[in-house]
Amino acid sequence: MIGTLFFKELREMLRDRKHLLVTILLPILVTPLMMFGVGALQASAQQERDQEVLRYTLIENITLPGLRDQLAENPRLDEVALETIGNTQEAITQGELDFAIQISRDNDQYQVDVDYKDTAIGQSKLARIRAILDTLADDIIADRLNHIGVEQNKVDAFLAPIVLRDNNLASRQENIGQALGSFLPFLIVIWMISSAIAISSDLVAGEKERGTLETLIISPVPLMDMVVGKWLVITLAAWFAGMLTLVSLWGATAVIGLVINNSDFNELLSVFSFLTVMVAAVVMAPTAGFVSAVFFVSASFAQSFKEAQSYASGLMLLFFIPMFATISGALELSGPTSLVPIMNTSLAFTELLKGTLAFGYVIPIVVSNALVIFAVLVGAVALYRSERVLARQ
Amino acid sequence: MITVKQVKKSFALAKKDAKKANATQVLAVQDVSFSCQPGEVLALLGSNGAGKTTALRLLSTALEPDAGEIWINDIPVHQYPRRARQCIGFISNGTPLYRRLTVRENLAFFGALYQLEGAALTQRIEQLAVELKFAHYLDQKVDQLSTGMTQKASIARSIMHDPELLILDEPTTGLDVEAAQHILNFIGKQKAAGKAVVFSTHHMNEVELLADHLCLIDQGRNCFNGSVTDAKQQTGHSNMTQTFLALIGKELL
Repeated sequence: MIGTLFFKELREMLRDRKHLLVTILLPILVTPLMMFGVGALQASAQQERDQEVLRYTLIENITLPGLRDQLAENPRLDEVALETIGNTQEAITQGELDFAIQISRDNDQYQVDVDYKDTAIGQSKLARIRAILDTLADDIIADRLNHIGVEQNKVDAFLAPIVLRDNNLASRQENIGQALGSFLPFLIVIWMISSAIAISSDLVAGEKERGTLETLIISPVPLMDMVVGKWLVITLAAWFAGMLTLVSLWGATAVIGLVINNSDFNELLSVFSFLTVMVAAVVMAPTAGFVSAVFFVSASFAQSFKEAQSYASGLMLLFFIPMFATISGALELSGPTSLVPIMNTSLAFTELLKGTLAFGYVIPIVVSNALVIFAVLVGAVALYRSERVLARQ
Repeated sequence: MITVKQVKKSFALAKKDAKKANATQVLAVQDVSFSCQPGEVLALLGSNGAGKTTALRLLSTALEPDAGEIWINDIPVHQYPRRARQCIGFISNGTPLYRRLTVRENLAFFGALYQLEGAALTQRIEQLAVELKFAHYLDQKVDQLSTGMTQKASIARSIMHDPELLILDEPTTGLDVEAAQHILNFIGKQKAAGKAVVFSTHHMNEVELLADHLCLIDQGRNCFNGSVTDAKQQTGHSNMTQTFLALIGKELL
């Protein structure tokens, strides 16, 4: 009987454009677009910022040797004469000026006050001025050291008494995997949840609204068969949405890498081996089953599709807690974390991308999720048996 | 045959309603009893909110009574609900069918739920399509059908397993004259075929046309059980509408 119910639900689901959009089209399109599209936009914005010629004015209460020349030599800095500006802070606020640099001196120490306005994340405008000041500071230290008789060949040791030569033994895959693992599991779970919400709202609350759920309940079908049949379809859709998110990213990386022949893309592709995708398919399944079971039950309490969606939105926020805990990087896959639904899959997925997943963890992940799913489904059957699902009508 | 003995059903009130009503529960049905033999039609009557739909949902096994007993073909429903369900065909006024599936797919699905398969399933679908005259839209999706067409398909869905008891909740509500007449003919045919039929309605002409027995519910309680003739004799009216109003104590002056 489970098979009969499963194929009926599947057929219904596949004939609904909304479901196809949420489960297939959006995961395929949105994930690569988010990753590469947003990445390209950020890179382009940064490039634009780097190329931008910034305007400054120099207020010299005292001369800082070399500063005026260094600023003038920089092709991406343009001096504005102080006399042409009324109030420098106002000019900066209104975008007519980027920096007002004021030099003063306290005994042997030069003080440089820089007024500027910058809200951008990433490379700050100030970095350009700081680079010039750092070079000048080195020159001043070298001059002063020479002045007190330090030999030129010892000056470097004074300027940089410690030289760090780092040798990170993490492989390139581990680095890329860690970077991807900080957001890819989040995206995958989001799509799984979106799909589970859309399908469960329709197959449970939607059916209740249309009257077909009561028809099903008063048929001789065992309630467990009905619950499992519906849950399986929701799980399949959620798992499929998660897999499509991963596969579309894989495909987009391969295609873009091929077109632009970029080594970064080829390195990224090396993280997505066929084996990785296959193991990911196994690791994602318990989470797909878990979120489907939870949203199946929440939709059972709702009287309409709309009500089910609002219950689900609240629940979704609860799922964000283990997700954010995971992407914070503060947790690692271990005995206890491998038992927490959603968190375990996300951590395992990050390890998988890094190429460091201990496959022994797959068993507790599957078993812990299976136990929770079983408990939720048994609870769902009890809920249907108790009339709470239909009696509210 | 079906026997309903002293059934009672109440529902918990939502907190805000409970505060207003100063009660935690609302009594939907109390001490309702009736029976219906094979080849008989019983009309369940009552005003809106009287408890008719709750009584029918108890009969259909969608709800469980708090007290009392329901027996269908000597099967105690509270003990063996799944066995009892094999004998019941339920049609609500909502024509519940899967709208994204074709009529044939709907019928095949519900047939399979009642253990019909293979050639027997196909044959039953074809037979009902001819009997109820919907063979020409058997392969159309339900969401492309009119209300009347959907109602026919819905009837076919409910009798796929050839049940001995048919329960219909206001089956002609919202239908045009032709579609309503079709339903009434269908009930007549089921009666002639020896099925027990229980239906609720607000149309007294349907009662006069089809019902052998009446069960009248007012504010959840049984206020009359008997034949149409008994009801008319008791109230002294020849008209069924006046009879009904007299029985519930709302006779028009």
